[in-house]
Amino acid sequence: MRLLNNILKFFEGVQEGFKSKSVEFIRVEKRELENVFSLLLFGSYIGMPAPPTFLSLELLPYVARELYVLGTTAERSDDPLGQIAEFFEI
Amino acid sequence: MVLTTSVIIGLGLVVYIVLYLTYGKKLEKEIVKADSSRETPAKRLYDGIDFVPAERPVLFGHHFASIAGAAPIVGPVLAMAWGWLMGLAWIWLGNVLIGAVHDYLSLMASVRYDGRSIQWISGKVMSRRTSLTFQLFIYFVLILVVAAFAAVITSIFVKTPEVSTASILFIVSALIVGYLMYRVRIGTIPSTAIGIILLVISIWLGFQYPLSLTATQWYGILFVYIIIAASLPVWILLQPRDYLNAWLLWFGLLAGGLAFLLVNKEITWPAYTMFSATVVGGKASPFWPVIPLVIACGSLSGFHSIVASGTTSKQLANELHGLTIGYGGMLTEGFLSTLVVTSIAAYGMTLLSQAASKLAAAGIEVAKLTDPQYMGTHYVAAMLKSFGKVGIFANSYGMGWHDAYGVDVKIGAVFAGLWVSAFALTTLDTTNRLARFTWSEIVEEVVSSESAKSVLTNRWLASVVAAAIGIGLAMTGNWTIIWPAFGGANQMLAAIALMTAGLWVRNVLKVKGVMRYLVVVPALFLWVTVTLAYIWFIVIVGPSPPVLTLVVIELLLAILLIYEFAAAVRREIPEAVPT
Amino acid sequence: MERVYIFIGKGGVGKTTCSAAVALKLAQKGKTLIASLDPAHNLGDVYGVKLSGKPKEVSSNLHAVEVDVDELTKRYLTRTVNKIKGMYTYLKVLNLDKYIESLKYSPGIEEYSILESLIDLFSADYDYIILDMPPTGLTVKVLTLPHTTLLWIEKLAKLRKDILARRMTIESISGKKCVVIDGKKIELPVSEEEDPILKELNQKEEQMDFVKSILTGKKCSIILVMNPEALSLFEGERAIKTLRNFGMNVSKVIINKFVEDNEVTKKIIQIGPTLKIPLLEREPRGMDELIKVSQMVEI
Repeated sequence: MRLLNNILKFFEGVQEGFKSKSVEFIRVEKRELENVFSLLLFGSYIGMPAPPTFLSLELLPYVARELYVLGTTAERSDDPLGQIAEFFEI
Repeated sequence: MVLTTSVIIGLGLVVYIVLYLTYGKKLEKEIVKADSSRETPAKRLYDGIDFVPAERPVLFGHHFASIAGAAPIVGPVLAMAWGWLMGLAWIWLGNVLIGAVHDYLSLMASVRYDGRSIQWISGKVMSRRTSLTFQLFIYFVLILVVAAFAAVITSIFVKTPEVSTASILFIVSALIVGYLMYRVRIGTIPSTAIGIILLVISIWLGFQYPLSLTATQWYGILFVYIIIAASLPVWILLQPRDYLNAWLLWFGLLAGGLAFLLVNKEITWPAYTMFSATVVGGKASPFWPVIPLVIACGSLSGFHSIVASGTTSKQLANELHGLTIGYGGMLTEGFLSTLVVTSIAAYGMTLLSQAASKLAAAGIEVAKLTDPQYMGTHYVAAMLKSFGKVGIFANSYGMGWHDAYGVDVKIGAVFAGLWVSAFALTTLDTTNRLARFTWSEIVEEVVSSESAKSVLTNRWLASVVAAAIGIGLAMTGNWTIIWPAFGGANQMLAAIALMTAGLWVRNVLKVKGVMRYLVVVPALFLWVTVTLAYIWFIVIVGPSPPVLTLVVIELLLAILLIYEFAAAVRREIPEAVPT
Repeated sequence: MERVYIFIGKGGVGKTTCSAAVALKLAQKGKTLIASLDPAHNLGDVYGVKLSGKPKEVSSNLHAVEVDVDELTKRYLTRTVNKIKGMYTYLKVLNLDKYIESLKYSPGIEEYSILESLIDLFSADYDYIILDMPPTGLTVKVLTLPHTTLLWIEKLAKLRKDILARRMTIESISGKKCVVIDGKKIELPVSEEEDPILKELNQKEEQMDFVKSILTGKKCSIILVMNPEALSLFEGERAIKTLRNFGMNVSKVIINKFVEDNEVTKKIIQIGPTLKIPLLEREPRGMDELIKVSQMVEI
C-alpha cells in the first residue's frame, strides 16, 4: 500500500515537474517586464525620465510589492547570471 | 559470457547507483556536511517569486530537463572512434568522480551563498577577473554551440528528410500548444494531450512527405529561424517547445533504456581501437587530454554549474535533496550517454555495412572496419560520409526499437532524429537570447564611447551578429574541429566552477585531510587536461583563424586562471553572505 | 458649456484686466464664470470685489472666483499620502506633514493641481468660462500636461497588461500563488478587472482625454495677451509654437497697452487675428472703469 502511495507521489511529482517546466520561461519574461514597469515608475530616483509626478504618486499605494522586488533586484544586480540561468539549455 | 547491451545498461545502472550511494553520500556527509536542519535559502528567503521551495521529484525533473539537451547524444557518437569502452569509461568514471561532483558542489555552494550563481561566488572566492573570465567563456560557448548544433541539425535534415518535415510540423505543433495552453488556457492536461497527438501526427506526416533541401538552404533557413524565434515573446514558441521537449526526452530515455535492456543484443564494436584515433580535424587525437572536449554533457559540463547555481539552488527545499538533484541529475544524464554508446556498440557495425557501397566510393572498406586500427583511423570519416553526425545513433536507436518492440527501424530512427534536432533547435533559440544579453554586458564593460555603445547594444544587431557568426562558422568550418572547440570552452567553465568549489571546500568549509582532495584534485586535473588540450589544438590541429583566435584567447585565460587559483589558495574567503 | 476662453501671456501684460473685460462682455450673452488660476491673484483687485475660492456674483450673469491652488495642492497631497499610509503600514513614515510640505514642490505637482482645477471648471454649469492663467511658462506646462501624461499612461498600461496576461497564464497552469513580503502574505492581482493599478491608469486616461479634447477642440479659444514690446513678442511666439505642436491653437492675440504701430506690432499682426486695446491714462480699477474697457472689446 505504501509502495503504491510512493509511486503515486512520484508521478504527482513528475506532473508538477512538467508543469513548472511549462512556465519557467514565461516566469522569467514576466519578471523582466515587472522590472521595467517598476523602473519606469521610480526611475526618477536614479535619474531616468519619469512619468508626471502625480501619476507615480497616485499609483504608489498599490505598488508596495513592486518596490520590494525592485529593492531585492537591485541587491542582486551584481549577479546577473543568477537571474537568467533558466535560459541555459545546452 | 557474451557481452550484450543488457549487460552494459545493467552495469551502467549498477555503477551509477552504487557510486551514488557510496561516493556521493561520502561527499554529502563529510565534505558538504549537508544538514536537513539548516534552512535553505528557498525557505529562509522565501518570497514566492524566485525563492520557492520545490518538492524533490519536481525539482529533479526540472533540473534534469534543463541540463539534458542534444549534447549528451552528439558527443558519445564522435567518441566511438576510440572504441566503446573508452567513451564509456569517461562517461562512467569521469561523471562519477568529476562531473557529478562538479554539479553537486556548484549546487551546494550556491545554496550556502544564498542562491548566488557560481560566477558570483568565483568573483568572491578568487577574483573579479575570474568572474569576467567566466563571462567571456560563456560568450565563446554561446557562439560555438550555435555553430556546432546548426551543423548537427543540418546534417540530420539532409540525411533524414523525414525529420525535416517532422521538425517543421513540430514547430507548428508547438505554436498551437502554446496558443492553447498560454492564451486560451484550456488547461495543462488537455494541452499536453493535444501536443502529444500533434507530435505523433508530425512524425507520421514526416514519413509521408519527406523534405529534401541542400545543406546551404538549411543554413539559410536556420539563420532566419534563429533571429525570428529569439525575438518572439516566449509563450509563442520557445516555452511550448521546451515543454514538449521534456516529454520527448523522458519518453526517448525510458523507451530506449527499456529496449536496450530487454533486447540483449551482442556488442560487435571494438572496445578499444587505439589511443590516438582520428577524431579532431582528421588528426590523430590522443584519448587524453582530448576526451573531455569530445564528450562534455553526459560526463562533465560547465554549463550545468550555471543551471544548478542559478535556479535550482533557489528552489532547494532541504539540503539533503541536493545529492539526488545535483549528483543524481548528472548521473541520469550519464545514463543517457550510456544509452547512446550502447546502441552504437550493438548496431553500429551492421549499419556501417549497410552503407558499404557509399563508403567504398569514399575509399573506406567496410570489411576492414573490424580491425580496431582501421576503425580508429577511419570511423569519423565513415560516420560522416554515411549517416552523418547523429544518424548513426538515430538508426541504432531505431534498430533497438525494432528488435525490442517490433516496429519498423525507420520509426525509431526518425523519432531519435526529431528528439535531437528538437533540443538543438531550442538551444539555438535560447542561446541567441543569451548571446544578446551577454554581448551587451561585455560591451558595457569594455566599450567606453557612448555613441558606440548605443549602436553596439541594439538588440537586433546583437541577435544578427551572434547568429551570423554561429551559422558562418557552421558552414565554413570543420565540424570535427568546432565540436571540440565548443567542448573546450565548456570544460574551462567547469574548471572554473570546480576550482571555485574546491576553494570553497578548502578555505570556507575548512575540510581537512584526504577529503578536500576529492574536489581540488579533480579541479586541477581538469585544468591541466583542458590546457594541454588547448595547446594540442593550436599546435597540432591548426584550426581556421576564427577558431584559432578563440582558442588562443582561451589558453591565455586558462593561464591567468591558474595564477588566480594559486593566489586564492592562501587567502581568507568570506563565508555565506549574511542576510 | 458653450465656450471656454483661456487667457495666456507673460506676467504683467494685463491678462487679468483683459480677461475681466471680456468676461463682462460675455455676461451680456450668457451665464459667465471667470476664474483666476494665477497664484498671484489680481482678479478681485481688478473688479474691486473681494473674491474667494467660491464663485461670487460680481455683476449680472457674471460670477468670479480666485482658485486657491496652494490649498487644493495641500488637500490633494494629504488625500494621496493618507492612501499610501494605509497601504504601507510596515514602512515607517515619520512626520507626514513635513513630507507633504516637501512634496508640494515636487516637479509637476503644482501643474497637476491647476490641471485638476481645470477639470472641475470645465464641468461647471456656465455658458461661458474664462480662465485667467498663470504666466506663460507654468501655463504651457499645464496645458501640455494632458498630452505627456497620456503618452506615459499608454506605455505603462500596455506594460501592465502584458504583465497581467503572463500572471494569468502562470496561474492557470501552476495555480494561485501568494507572495510573501516581510512576513506578510500578499495576493497578486491577476486579471485586468481586479488590478488597482490598471484601474487607476484608466481613470486618469479618461480624465486627461477629457481635458485634451476640450483644449484641442472647437469650444476652446486660447487668447494670447501681449504688450507691443519685443520680449513680449518673442515669448508669445514661442508659446504659440509649443502649443501648436500639441494641437492647441491660439485663436486671437490681444495687444494690450497699445500706443502706435511699430515694428513689433506689425509682426504681431502677422500672427493672426488681433485686437488692440489702447494704453489708458491709468490702470483700470473697479467695475465702472472695467465696463468702459469691455466696450472696446470685440469678442
